Amino acid sequence: MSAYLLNLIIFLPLAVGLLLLALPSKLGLHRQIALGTAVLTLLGSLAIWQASNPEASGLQLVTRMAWIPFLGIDYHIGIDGISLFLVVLTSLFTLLAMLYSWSLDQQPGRFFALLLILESGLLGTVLAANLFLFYVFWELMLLPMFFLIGIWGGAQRIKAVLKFVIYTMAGSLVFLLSILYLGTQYQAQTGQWSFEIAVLTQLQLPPTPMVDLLFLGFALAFLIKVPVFPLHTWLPDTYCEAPPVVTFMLSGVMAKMGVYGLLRITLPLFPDSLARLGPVLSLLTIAGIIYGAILALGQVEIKRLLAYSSISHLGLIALGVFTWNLSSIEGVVYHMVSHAVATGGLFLMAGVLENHYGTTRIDQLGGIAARAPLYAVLFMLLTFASIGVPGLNGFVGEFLILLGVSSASAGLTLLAALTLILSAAYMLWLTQRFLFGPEAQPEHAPLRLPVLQLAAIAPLCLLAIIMGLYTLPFTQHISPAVQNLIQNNQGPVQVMLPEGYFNPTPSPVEKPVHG
Amino acid sequence: MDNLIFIAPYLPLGLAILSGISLLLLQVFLPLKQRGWLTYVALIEAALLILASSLSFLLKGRVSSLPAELQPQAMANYQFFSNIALFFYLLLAVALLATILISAVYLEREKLVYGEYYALLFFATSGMMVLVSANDLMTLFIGLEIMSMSVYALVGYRRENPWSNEGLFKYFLLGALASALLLYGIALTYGTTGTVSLREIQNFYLSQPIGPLGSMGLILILTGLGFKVAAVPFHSWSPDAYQGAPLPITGFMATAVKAAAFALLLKILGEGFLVVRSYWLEIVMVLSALTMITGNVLAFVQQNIKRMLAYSSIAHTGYLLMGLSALNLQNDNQIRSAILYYLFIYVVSSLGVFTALAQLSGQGEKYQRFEDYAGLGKRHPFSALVLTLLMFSFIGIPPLGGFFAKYYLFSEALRQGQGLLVAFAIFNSILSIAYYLRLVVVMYFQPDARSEETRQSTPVTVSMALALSAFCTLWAGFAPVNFLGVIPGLSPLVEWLHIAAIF
Repeated sequence: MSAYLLNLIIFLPLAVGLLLLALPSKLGLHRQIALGTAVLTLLGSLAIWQASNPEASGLQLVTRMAWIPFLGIDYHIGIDGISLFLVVLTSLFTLLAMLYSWSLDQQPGRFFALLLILESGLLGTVLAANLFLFYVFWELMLLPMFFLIGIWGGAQRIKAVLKFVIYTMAGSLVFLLSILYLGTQYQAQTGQWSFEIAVLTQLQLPPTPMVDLLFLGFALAFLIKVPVFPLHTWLPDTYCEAPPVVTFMLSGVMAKMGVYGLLRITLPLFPDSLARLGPVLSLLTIAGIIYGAILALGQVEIKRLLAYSSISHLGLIALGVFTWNLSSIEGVVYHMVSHAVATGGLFLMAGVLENHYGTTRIDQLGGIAARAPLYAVLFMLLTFASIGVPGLNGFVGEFLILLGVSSASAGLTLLAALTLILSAAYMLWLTQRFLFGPEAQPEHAPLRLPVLQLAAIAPLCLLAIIMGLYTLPFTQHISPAVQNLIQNNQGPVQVMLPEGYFNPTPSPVEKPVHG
Repeated sequence: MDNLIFIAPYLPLGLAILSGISLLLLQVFLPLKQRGWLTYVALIEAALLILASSLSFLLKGRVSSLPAELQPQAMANYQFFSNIALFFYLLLAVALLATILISAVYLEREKLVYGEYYALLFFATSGMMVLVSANDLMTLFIGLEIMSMSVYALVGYRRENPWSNEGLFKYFLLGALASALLLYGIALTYGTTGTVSLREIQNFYLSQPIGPLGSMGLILILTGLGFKVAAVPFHSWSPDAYQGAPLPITGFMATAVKAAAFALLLKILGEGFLVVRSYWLEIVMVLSALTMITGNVLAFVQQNIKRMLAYSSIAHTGYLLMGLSALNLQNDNQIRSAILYYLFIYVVSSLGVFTALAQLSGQGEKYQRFEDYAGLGKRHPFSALVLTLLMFSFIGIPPLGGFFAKYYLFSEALRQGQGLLVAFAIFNSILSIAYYLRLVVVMYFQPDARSEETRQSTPVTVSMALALSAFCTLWAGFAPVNFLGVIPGLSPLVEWLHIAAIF
């Protein structure tokens, strides 16, 4: 029964979404049907949470059927503690996105249908256990995004969306080439085709430079999606031109797919390459952390500031991924969710602002707290969650990641910890400028949070508090899955930096004990 | 029944020729006003052609039920009617049918005289059928010429239009040159091997070196065929001919003519000259790489959709040439079936695109530029949807047919050690995203440019052709595919192609 749930939550939104696109818009029930579907999907994913066993290792609730037999491609899906969170996150966020955009005036039916298709692509990506299937869903989530930004975006939407799509598709095609190459390698070695992720991780590749190239091929699509510096240039334009709800989905869920891909596919497939290239990649993430934060400091527009802060935060998550040890990966999984909650919520708040004042330029805003205290409280809460104040969700993830990194390298930890200071700097300065101080537009009506938009934002704020105070229900699912992931894939337990690379004083070398 | 088995292999070809002649005669005897009937006649004949091809194939399977003494003779009759020929017969007949469907509305709108138009289409098709079932170089050449002559006339069919004349002139001159080169190459090959039969040429080269004359002949043949498939650097005629030809004919050229030309290449390189692969392999690889990159880069800068499609068709030629470069001496069927599959998808998708354009381009084909299609998503939702689907299929987005075609072709080429070329093809696919998406962007994201015009409804025939093309593109993505066992009766197309690829 429960195994069907996975199929259901993948294909129900897709089917309903396509149906809604086909229905004439005069009917007028599109939004209600879409919302109902989203609720059902969320209920389904919560049921999956209930049905999955936190102690079990490996994939659960597996469905596996032959799909394209002569190429060894299976329809194979399953769930574990890592994907579980992304499933719940995705279905929750889709629902919230619908609530938020309930009163959209331009073609709301289509918008909601595309959101459903997007949900389906995201869920499929998370649940796929076969590389080919993963690729299919990976591309599927791009299509609705293309139309969502292109039709409902801002003035510069076409330029932004083309940049975004070409960037990501380029990554995807390289990814496809790498899948094909790996598949043919496997075929050459064993005489049969297989695209099972679990099977391919067992493949012994000859240690040639080709392997590192292949590693990069597998990583590129994900590094673009995350994005990791210097592949981030599509992000600010896209985040600013997309409608707020779409940015919410982009930063909240879609960026996490990149992290998930690295975690699930790239690193388990190429543990040796990670050992060789890990330091370089870690340095890139550090560069992204600092670069994003500094640019965020200089922004004059809230959405753009949040976009750069996203680059910075995602850099930290990516650093956790490349560190690849228990604590850091647990932190990564946790922080994926908490970053989605905090930054996603902030983007929605910025959207409310834009709706009301018609701008998100900081110098044209001010003193909002005085007239809209509820807005200010929620914004501050999410801000604190985002900068990692203890007691809120951001802190847990960041702490775990930094803990993991510190066992690998003290220098990297120091640099990465800069994110805490810098993010506090730009976020608090931001709130000080636009929430407090003299009122900039006294003639304007006071800012109100419409009920449905409040209903979209409030659960995020609640989640930020719960996940900060009571972590057990989350970690009890995450820990076994992460342990399983790390043990099954004999990667390096630490990023092997040359001794003294960051520490001027070499740490004492363990002496072999002579009996 | 038994007698039918003997003549069945000649049925499709005979029917195509007879249809052409009958249309020609009908045109003489029908008064001008009643020539609209010709369309229906042509449609029925094209449908019959599909039936006849299937029938001959079914009868071929019954040869073994004949009395033993008759079997050898029956087999000899079927010798030219290989499975691969059947595949192309069906593909050509489908392309022909779709072209007639598009033309019906188009010709009426453009007030072009009927008559010889359909007859020429049938003659071109019969030439192609000769070509795809030929087993020696002379028959092959004759088939090619029958096809080319008819297509030249069709390209210049809009006689009043200067573009049409220019396209015809370029196509004819370069086509004639290509034919001459091909013929010269055939002559040199004959001089070396003493035979024009493809099988005997293969046997000859198995035991003897190719020698300077023979390799000269091979290169000339390749050059001639390069012109016919529009491989770079022999492509210069193609954008002008595509732009000048009436849109249904552009579609016919991009699909049927291209498929036939590839059948020819597959025959010559994959059969006659397979054993001397080392002599042509590098040439084909270089041609493939050049064709891909030129097609994609030039498609990128076009403002005219017809020309964009011409260059995109060149780019697809490049991918297909990559498939040819993966032909190996083991005579592996996988790569052939990948090529056939790619051709199939390419043909059905292109037919859809040209159907939509023929309808949307308006009186005198005045809407050919990208910006003319702004806001199409609102004005013609169905056409825009199908065009979008087909563009995504060309880009290679799963699970559409185009994706699987690329996937299959690329993976087979990779398996044959063409890693660098495949990487290059992937790079090219990235380039191609931009110009395919451009049409989608214009249709959906830009405000309606011609909203004040009265909306013209799409004729049912056009909608049907569009729906069929979209369906095939979707179906082909899932057909390789026993999709979760849910949809019974979708016999896996690709496994069938495996059989088809056996000579």
